[in-house]
Amino acid sequence: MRAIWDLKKNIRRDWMLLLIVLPGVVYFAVFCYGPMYGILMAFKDYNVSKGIWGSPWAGLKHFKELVNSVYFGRLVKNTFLLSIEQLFWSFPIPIAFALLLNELKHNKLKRVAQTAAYLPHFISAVVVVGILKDLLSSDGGVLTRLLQTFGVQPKNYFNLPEAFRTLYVGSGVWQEFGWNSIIYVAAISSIDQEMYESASLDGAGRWKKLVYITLPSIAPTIILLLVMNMGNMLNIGYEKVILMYNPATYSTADIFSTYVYRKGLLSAQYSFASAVGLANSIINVLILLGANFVARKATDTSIF
Amino acid sequence: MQKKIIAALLSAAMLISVLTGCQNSGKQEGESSQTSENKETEETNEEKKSEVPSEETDTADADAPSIDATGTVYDLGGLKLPICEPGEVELTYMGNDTWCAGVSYNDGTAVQQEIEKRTGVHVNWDTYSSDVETVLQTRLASMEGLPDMVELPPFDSNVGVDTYSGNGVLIPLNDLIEQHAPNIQKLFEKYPALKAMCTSADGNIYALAGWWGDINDYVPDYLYIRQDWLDNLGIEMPRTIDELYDVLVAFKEQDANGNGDPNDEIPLATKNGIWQLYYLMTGFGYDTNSLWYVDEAGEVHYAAVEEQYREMLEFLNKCYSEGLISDDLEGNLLTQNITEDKVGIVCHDPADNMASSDDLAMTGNPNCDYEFMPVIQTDENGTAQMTKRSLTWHYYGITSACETPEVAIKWIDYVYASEDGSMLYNYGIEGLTYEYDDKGEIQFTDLVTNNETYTSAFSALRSVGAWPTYFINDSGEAFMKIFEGTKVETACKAAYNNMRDPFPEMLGTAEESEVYTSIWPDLSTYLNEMFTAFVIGTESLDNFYKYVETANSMGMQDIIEIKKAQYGRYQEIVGK
Repeated sequence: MRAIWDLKKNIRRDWMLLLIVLPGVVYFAVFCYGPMYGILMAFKDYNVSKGIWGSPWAGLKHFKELVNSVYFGRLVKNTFLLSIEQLFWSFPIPIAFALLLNELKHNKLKRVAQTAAYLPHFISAVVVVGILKDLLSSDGGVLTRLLQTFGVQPKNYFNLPEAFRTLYVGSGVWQEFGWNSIIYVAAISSIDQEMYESASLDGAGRWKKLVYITLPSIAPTIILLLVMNMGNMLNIGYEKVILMYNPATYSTADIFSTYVYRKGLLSAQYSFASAVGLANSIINVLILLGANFVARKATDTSIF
Repeated sequence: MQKKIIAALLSAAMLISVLTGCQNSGKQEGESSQTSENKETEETNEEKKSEVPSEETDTADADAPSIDATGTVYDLGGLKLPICEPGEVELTYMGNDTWCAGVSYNDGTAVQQEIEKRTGVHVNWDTYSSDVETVLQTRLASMEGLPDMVELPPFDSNVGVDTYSGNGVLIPLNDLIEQHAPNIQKLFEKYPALKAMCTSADGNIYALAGWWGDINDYVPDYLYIRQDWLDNLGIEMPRTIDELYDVLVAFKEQDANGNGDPNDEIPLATKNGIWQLYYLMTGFGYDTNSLWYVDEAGEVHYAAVEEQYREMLEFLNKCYSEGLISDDLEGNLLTQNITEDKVGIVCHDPADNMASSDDLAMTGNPNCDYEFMPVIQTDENGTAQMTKRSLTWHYYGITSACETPEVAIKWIDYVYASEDGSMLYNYGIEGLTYEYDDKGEIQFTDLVTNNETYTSAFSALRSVGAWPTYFINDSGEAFMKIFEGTKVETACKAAYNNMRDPFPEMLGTAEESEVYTSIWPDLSTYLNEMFTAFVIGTESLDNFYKYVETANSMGMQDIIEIKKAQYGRYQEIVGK
């Protein structure tokens, strides 16, 4: 009785705050929790006319099919390697860029550099891949010619399985590092300037200030983003991979999401595709929990 | 004569529908009869002039005297137009948008409007020009907002017909066709193969296949070569696989395009992926260039797992390693390279696209002359023939959401199978895209022959809505008419009656489809990947037997069994 009374009192007191949070709650309920009902499809033989609930149960059939697929090992390997390589390069570079920007004292130059770095973010993947293919075309591509002057035989790099990850990650970094640095630039700008002043009085140079003031101040942001990135590790969008791969590079380029696209969507095997998607998500959650645990133990910063 | 009749009918229908709309009840008679009375007499005269078979006119009279009284109906082989009062019935269609850039069915084209005028049925178009397959799959899978008529995904196989008939999205059409669609029946009689390919394993027809059987009797689809390069180098057109190799080497080593640089020629390039080079299999003992084929004993084979195929891969591997085949494996740069006057042989295209390649290259080299190569033979005595293009395109069906399936089937009967509909389909609208000359021959108007925006006659016709992507039934005769006097016509004439029928694509039973969908996506990925690997040399051909074993372990034999069963059913229906 008392508890309900308290709740009512709280609602009356905080109704404005609750109102503010409401759209977020609705968003997650409708777009994130609602569709989870669809997970059932992974355990059923989904039939369009019977609906998700009416379709017959299939147990773990689709998961077994996935694990027994000839491509399972390759998909796991490719997805992990691509994710790890992506994280390895695309995570630290925006931080470094933000730190460098912070050292630029000329304000106008700083703004120009920042805007120039964002711009590629707004180019669609189709165009980026198009540019890349033109640059690297084996006859007449600018990069190919440049390499040729150094005595490298012209090759079509899009046909080399070993070049796929580099091309994918490299173009990704080029496209996103400016955009991803925004959050760090924001974090740096909120650092108390007095700390730098007192450090200067103590005789600290730029390097010392960077190592002892800037980095520790944005460390929580870095760790937070790292943990969150880890949680998204296996969610590589299929669009860019599909644009970039061809049968010659399947051996390194075929990942879970492209496999789901080919098999689930193009061949209308929805249950199987859901099973693959669910397996992917479970692995993601596990990685997220692991990263969070390590972060909490090691640095006292964590998401939860 | 036939054409004249159609033309007369056509103009009659146009006049009628313009003047009185397609009412068939007498409620507006009072207002409209006066203004249209004179015209009606004209109509009647014109109908008589056009010598509509009396039997049909009689039926019309007997069946619907009230319709006859307002003069707003006539008969197309038993199908009566208009199907309904204007706007009385609305149908939705979902599928591919037109293949003509800058035009969309969603905005309405002249031909669509004409169809609506004549049939009275208002169609709401919901068509897409990109990512169509995904959109359709998602809509059909969600079962919500189903259209009345739909093009069926997945497009690269026909398993969709089985999937969506099995789960009740599609309704069976047999009775509807029997009762309401005389022209579709006639089409089936004319082409038993079409009926076979539309018939599901349970004997029902759930979907109609886009029909290419007529046009593909004419249109060759093969490799084509720069005749002018051959002339420049003074070599003969290659006929055997060894001659082909010599030509490739000559293209590679010499300055075939005559621009002073002997190194910018690409001897052989593929259009949609390097695996298409299987077209050269006729050079290695196969009778025709089709992966699925039936031998003399009637056994079904899949070439890609056979010994002879290995010889072809060896040949291709040798060519690739010597730089005779473009390393643009997916064909992304083909158009660019053709335009830059660099490509010697293209694998492969149908006749009309071969002619457009000429147009592309002519911007750089006015002498460009692509010609079809004769089918490559193993030796001088070879008799291999090219395979016709596929007989069918995507399937189209009526969904369970359709409240007036009999109207839908009549509309389809008109658009897909009636002669009147086929005129609209293949030639466009009289007065707009074509006219009859004194001899009664069809002559295209300036809009088609001299269009500034759409320079090819084909796209000009498409820009007004002719040659649609829905309920495809292309006419070979019309195709030849469009390309009259061009090299396309020459190529088509040479190919006519000189090609083999393709392996029939039959619809599967529920079990077949289930096996097929669980095996084929992975298996085809594997076959494709290994083809590429063998050719570009990332996999040694010593592993060919291992590859065959792996393919078998992935279910190759099951797929062959399915194809066998389907081929058997095809033979039963076609009765050969």
